Formats: sequence, C-alpha cells, structure tokens
Amino acid sequence: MPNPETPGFLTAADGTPLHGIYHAPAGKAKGVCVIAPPLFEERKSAYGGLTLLARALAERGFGAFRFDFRGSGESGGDAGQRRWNHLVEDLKTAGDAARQLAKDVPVTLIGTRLGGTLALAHSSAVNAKAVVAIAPVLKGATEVRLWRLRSKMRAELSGKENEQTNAPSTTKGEILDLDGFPVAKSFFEDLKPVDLLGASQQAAIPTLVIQVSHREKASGEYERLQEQLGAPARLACIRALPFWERVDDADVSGIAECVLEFVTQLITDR
Amino acid sequence: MASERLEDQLKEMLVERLMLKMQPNEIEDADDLIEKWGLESVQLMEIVVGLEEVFGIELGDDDFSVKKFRTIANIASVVRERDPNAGAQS
Repeated sequence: MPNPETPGFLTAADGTPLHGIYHAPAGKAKGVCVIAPPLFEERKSAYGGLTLLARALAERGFGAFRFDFRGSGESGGDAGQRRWNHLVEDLKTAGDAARQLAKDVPVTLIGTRLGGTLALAHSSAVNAKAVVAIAPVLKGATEVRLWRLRSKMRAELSGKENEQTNAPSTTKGEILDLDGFPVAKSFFEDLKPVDLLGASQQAAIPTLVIQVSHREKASGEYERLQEQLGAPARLACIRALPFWERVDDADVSGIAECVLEFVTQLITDR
Repeated sequence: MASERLEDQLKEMLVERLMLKMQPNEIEDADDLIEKWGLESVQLMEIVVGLEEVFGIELGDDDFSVKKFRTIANIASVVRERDPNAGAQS
C-alpha cells in the first residue's frame, strides 16, 4: 500500500482553485517536494509517472505535493485565458501549500518539461532550496513550433485535418485549439522568448537537470545549460523512453532514483 | 555514418532514437512505418527532432505531412530536398 495520498484544493491569489494531492511520508517529512507537471497532452501522459515519483519520494521519507496548473486536470480556470505569469503564480501557490503541509523542512521544486522550465526560471518565487528539472523545455519558440507540428500530425493521422481547415490549430478569436487543448494565442507569445540557453542567470541553489533520451551521454545543449547554470548545477542523463509521451509502460525508476539521490544528499549536506 | 547511404543513416537514427528492439536493416526503404512498424505520432515527432539534430533540417507545420514521413524513402527525399549532399558516399 502506498503512503497516504490526500487530494484537495488550493486557492491561487486571484481565487482560481488549484487541485493538488499530497503524498505524506510515514513520520515527520525530511523535506517536501513540489511536483510541477507539463502541460497539454504531455500532462496526461506524465500523470502516471509523476504519481510513481511522488510515491517513491514519500516512501523514502519526503513529502511530495503534486498539483495541476490552472486550466488543466482537475484545477479550475480557463485554459484559453492562461498566460505564463499565471503558471508562475500557480507554482508559488503550490509551494506555499507544500510548506503548510510539511512545516520547517526545505522545499525542493521538481518540474517536468514546461514545469521544469518554470522550476528553473522561477524557483525564487517558491523560495525553494533546490530545483530538479526533468527534460525542461529549453527554447520556448522551438517548442511552440513542434507543438503546432505535432498537432497537425495528429490531425492527419486521425483523419481530422479537413475539420481543422488544413491548419495545425484552429483559431477562434485569440484562442487556438492545440490538438484539443485550448491555448491563448498570447500564451504562445509569452513562451517564444523563453530561452534557458540564452539566460544569463546562474543557479543560486542546488540544481539537478535530467536529460531523458536514447542517449548515454548528455547532448551539447544540456551541457551548455549546465555550464550556464554554474557550480550549483548537476547534469544527469537517463537512457529511457520519455514518460511524458507514453501512457503505457512508463518506466520512471531510473529518474526516481536519480531524484531521490539528489534530495537525500541535500538533507545530508544540511 | 558518413560512408552509409542516407536511407541507412535514417534507419539507424530511427532504431536508436526510438530505442526499438530490432536491427536497422530489418526496415525496408519502402516499408510503411505506420502500418508495418506501428509508429505513432510521438515517434514520428522524434524523427522530426532527429532530422533537426542530425541533419540540421528545421521543419515548420507548413512543410510537414504524414505522407512525407511514412517511409524511409520519403524521409530521405525530405532530407535531400533541403540538403542535396546529405548521405553522399564519402
């Protein structure tokens, strides 16, 4: 049996209800981890893997708080109105909640894909003591292009391309239909300048970046990211299929071990 | 890779990136990757990303159609359209 898992709702500063689940460890938590998910189709596919990661953390004595950004999962809010600053606000709300759930212990922010990008860029908003970014989106503009391409591909494969007027996404006013997910056009505009490789800020807290791919060694882009983040940053390369792209047979054991080693070391070093 | 046919390079890339439990030479140039080998959109996207990383070819949604990615031969055509020297014998 997994450790107790308690679902509930938080309220963001603007009143938006956010859904979260707290995985409690047995006894006092050694630390607490806030788990920021990806968005869109990746959020759905990552759900199982991130649940397993949260359970693994709880089993090793860490509290783990999973949540849904506004406009996704069971959270409230309109996905078509969501902007980048809303995600930062939601991250902060989740961090505050985690701090209440496990008092007086350090908070580690763990983000996957776009959640990882947010974690790296906005850990200070959460006052996190450490960050783990799993396969963060490195360049927003590239990701937007690939999302649109993927959307067109899925429409073609499902025979729905004509329903979408041969476009990768339909436009209704300022809202795009990205493969069934409403997205504010302005959200894409928010995302395009996001460039982790172009940022000049070094990491101020212990940081672990995990590349998950077919590779045995990290790619040049990830090595550049580590170099840029500076001394507090570690880079790990896990050879595995990306769990945020697979609903079935998602194996997160290697990633979970890597994360556990990192958060355990943080406690040891305190 | 430099001395191989482009089609063979693409097969190697596909098997490696998708971590398929098969040998690249099991794939024929004209095999329908979706019908015969069961590739899905996620895997086709991985090929798109692979073309960017390995061959420096950046595709926008206007450049893309599933047909262009259904076979190794078609993917090779996409690459050669953008880089006529790709896969040339060294």
